Amino acid sequence: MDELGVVANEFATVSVSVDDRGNGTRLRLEDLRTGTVRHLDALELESIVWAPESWMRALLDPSAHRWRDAERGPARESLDEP
Amino acid sequence: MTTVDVDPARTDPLADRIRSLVLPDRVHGSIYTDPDVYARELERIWYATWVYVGHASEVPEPNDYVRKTIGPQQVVMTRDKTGAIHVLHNRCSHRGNLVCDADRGNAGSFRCPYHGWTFANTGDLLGFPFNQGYGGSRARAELPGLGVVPRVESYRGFVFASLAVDGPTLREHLGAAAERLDRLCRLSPEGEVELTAGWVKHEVTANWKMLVENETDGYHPQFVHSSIFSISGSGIGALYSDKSTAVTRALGGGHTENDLSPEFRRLGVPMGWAGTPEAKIPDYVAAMRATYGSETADEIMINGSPHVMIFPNLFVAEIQLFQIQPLAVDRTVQHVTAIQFAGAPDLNRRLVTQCVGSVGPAGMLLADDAEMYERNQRGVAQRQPEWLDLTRGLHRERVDDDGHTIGTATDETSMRAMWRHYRELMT
Ligand code: FES
Ligand SMILES: [Fe+2]
Repeated sequence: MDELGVVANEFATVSVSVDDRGNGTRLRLEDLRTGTVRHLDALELESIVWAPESWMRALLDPSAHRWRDAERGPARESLDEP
Repeated sequence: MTTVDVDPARTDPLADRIRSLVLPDRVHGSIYTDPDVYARELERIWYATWVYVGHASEVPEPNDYVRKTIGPQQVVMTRDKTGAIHVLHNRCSHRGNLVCDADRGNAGSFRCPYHGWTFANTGDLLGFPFNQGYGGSRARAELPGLGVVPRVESYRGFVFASLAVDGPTLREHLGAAAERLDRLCRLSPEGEVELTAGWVKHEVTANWKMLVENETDGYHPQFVHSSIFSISGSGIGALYSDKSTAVTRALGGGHTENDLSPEFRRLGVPMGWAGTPEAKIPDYVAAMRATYGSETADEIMINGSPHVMIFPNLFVAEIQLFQIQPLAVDRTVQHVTAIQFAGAPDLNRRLVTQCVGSVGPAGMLLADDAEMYERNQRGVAQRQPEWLDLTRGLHRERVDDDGHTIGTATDETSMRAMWRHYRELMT
């Protein structure tokens, strides 16, 4: 697995690597502040490249995922569908 | 004396006082120390007129941002995905936390560290945690985003902002000072400056106007800076002598300059103004001649860089750029960087070295001035005599071909012009 580097600013720190342990390559993203990992395959990445700006803005809403439910507190991994 | 009937509801005792403290040939010491005067300066000058914020080259890529200031106000200058530059107040719309802490970075969105409210780099509110507490995501449309500074304009990459919704355009504000920025940019073979050398911040316990006045005070260099001039063998002192053909010029709008170009032309050496022989920067000289042609290039390189104070906070001193930031009536920060010219790496390296020597943390030039600012602030707090004299060269002021008032290199023409403008804004 080739670590490509860490993408960081004052708001988040994510390590980026190409994971080639499967039958093909995937991008591996690790949120270094929590250790939570997400893999993205080529088609998912291509879709992100093409996604409309509004989709990305919606994704940046904390209530869209990790901080959705005040009763449960912040999620430890990506949440099921609401 | 004539007496005027004034509507008592419309009297403005502070304006009357300021009018009596700022006269054509003298100013009262309290103008530097009075907190009420300072409070009005913030409202009438810093939060009303155009103030220099930063340079486009500090946010070269989409989503770059830098923290900047407008007087004591903390702002963030951002470049959005489309390339447009915004100036945002660095204050969360939830409970007022500072949103950005890093001096610079790259981010399309900012997340407040207190409760996680998240904003686009245009100021729009993108969301917040646990939105059921606000009745769901629809609340987003009702809640405010980051404060956006209403007017942002740039001239040759120099970004200015105004907290006032209406007022003169930036071009009108700059007036003749704009040409001085042109003169600076022409020294680049690509016609652009880049502020990429990093910043040093010098804080002094002095009123901001002392710095503004000093920037184009040609009377002090031979005294205050004699030690650095003598050990460095610099000829700068002689530029500010009675024999000098340099002039002090009021450019209008409170902007002023020490125009040293007549002396540089008398010297007649390309880059003589920078104390850098052609042979040491052959690539730069070749690039300049390739861009402008030999004759024009030599003229540009002989005439040199401007020494101009753009009111109230941008000072270009030939090879370095200062941004003046008041923090309180008696506290001021000077942010300073070495000017870098696009397409001039060999010259740029020398400019950084020269600036380290003059205005770096152990630089000798700014340290001299800083000592004077602080002593001056303590001095004007003393009770007698109450006034500061501004008469130097009053009897020999002239008007040049462009209609600007000029004095000799050591005359106080620039201060008188600054105060004239100040009085207009403040009363
Ligand atoms: S103060 Fe910023 S999220 Fe609460
Ligand atoms: Fe000085």
